[in-house]
Formats: sequence, structure tokens, C-alpha cells
Amino acid sequence: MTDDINHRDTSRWVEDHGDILYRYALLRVNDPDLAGDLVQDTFLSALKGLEGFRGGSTVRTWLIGILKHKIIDHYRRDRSEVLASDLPPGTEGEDLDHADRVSARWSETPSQLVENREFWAVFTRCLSTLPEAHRRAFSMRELDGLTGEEICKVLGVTATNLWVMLHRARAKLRRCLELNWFEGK
Amino acid sequence: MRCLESARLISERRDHPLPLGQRIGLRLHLLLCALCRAYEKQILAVCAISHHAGIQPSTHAPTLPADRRRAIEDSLKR
Repeated sequence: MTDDINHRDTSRWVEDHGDILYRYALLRVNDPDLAGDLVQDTFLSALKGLEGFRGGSTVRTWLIGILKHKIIDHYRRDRSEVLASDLPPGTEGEDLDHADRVSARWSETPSQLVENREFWAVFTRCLSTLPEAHRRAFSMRELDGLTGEEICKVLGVTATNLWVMLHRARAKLRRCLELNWFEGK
Repeated sequence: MRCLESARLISERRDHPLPLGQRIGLRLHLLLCALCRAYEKQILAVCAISHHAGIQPSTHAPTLPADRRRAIEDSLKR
């Protein structure tokens, strides 16, 4: 309610929501300068569209919604150069890295892990090792829960290509976390 | 079914419904292969961690740099 009443007090926007928006953007674009640009654009767009904000959601939810669209616009804008090198040629010759045992650490809850400073560093480093197109596909699918159809439109790929990219992203992330966290500790 | 195909289907069934033959093949393979069952558990954990991180990034993640914060505050005042 307080948030709703104060939504026009834009002097507090950056203090109240700047860090959350920056973290949201950084996780998805993996570039501090670009994340800062997207956050800045988000605040400016919100200021312009302030009259249209009806207070049906909190200011933060509204701002995150704007930022989410800015990130997807960014993905869409420069998709051709990113995708050229990352499109999957096929699944032949792939190796599967099975674990020969499963560490009990895999059973820790997501919230415990995400709030562990060392794990967060490993997780973000592992995400950053994915090829750019795979990271974007994974981010939209698993971080944001977009449908395959929505992601195909943004990236301009076929469903079959998307499934291969997501499979490779999940497999590589699993392997990286296993080596650097779950088994490596 | 080989483990390589099983791993692909474990991922793909998160994204689209598998045809009946593949569903049965995967289920049988998972019954027989402990390593693929472990692999599936780990993939599901990776996805759950990522989903949580997407909604609520860690409080240990970097914050908005001070110079950028000032620039945004200035641009909002104009």
C-alpha cells in the first residue's frame, strides 16, 4: 500500500529499486555496462509512462516488467551476430558426462544455495561460460519461464534448434556446477 | 536407448511433450540406469536453482555502481 501511495515519488526509485533491477539485468546479460544501460533506460521509460501506471502491481513489479521487455528487445536486436556461431550443427559426437556418484550437496534447497556467497560466484561464472545464444535461451526458459514458442521468436531459431541449445546449456551448467561446487568442495 | 539419448530426452521433456515411444523408452532406461536417474536429479536441481535465481537474484550479487546510480538519479531529475 505504501509502495502504491509513493509510486510518484521518483526521487526514491533508484535507492529503493536500483540494486534489484541491476542484479536482475546483470544475471541475464552478463555485462555490467549493458546492465547499467538497461536499468537507466528502464527508469527513464517508467518516468515517461508514469501516468499509465495504475497501481495494480507494486512499483518494483512494474519496473521489473519494463526491464524484462528491454532485455528481450536487446536479445532480439543483436541476435544475428550472436547466433551465427552458436547454432547447433547436430548432436553427433557429443559426450555425456555422467556423475559416478551424486553428492548429498545436490539436495540443498535452491534458496540456501542462491544465498551462499561462494555458490553464487560459481553459479554466475558457470552461466557465463555458456555460448551466448545458449545462455540467452537458457535464461529465457529457466530464469524467466518463457515458452519455447516465445523464445524461438526472440532468437529467430526453429524449435528443434532451441531444444538442442537448451539441452547443451543444461548439460554444461550441470557439469560446471558439479566440478566447481558439488564435487569440488 | 543409450545414455546419450536418455540425457537429451531428460532435457527435452521439460520443453515439449515427447512422443509415446520416446516416453516409454526413457522410462525403461531410467528404471535400469542409476547414473541417468542421478543425472536427471541433477538437471532438475540446476533448473530449480536457476528458476529461483531468476526470481530472486542473490543478495551477494553486485549492486548498481555508484557512478551509474548518480547518473540515473540526475537523469530522473531533469
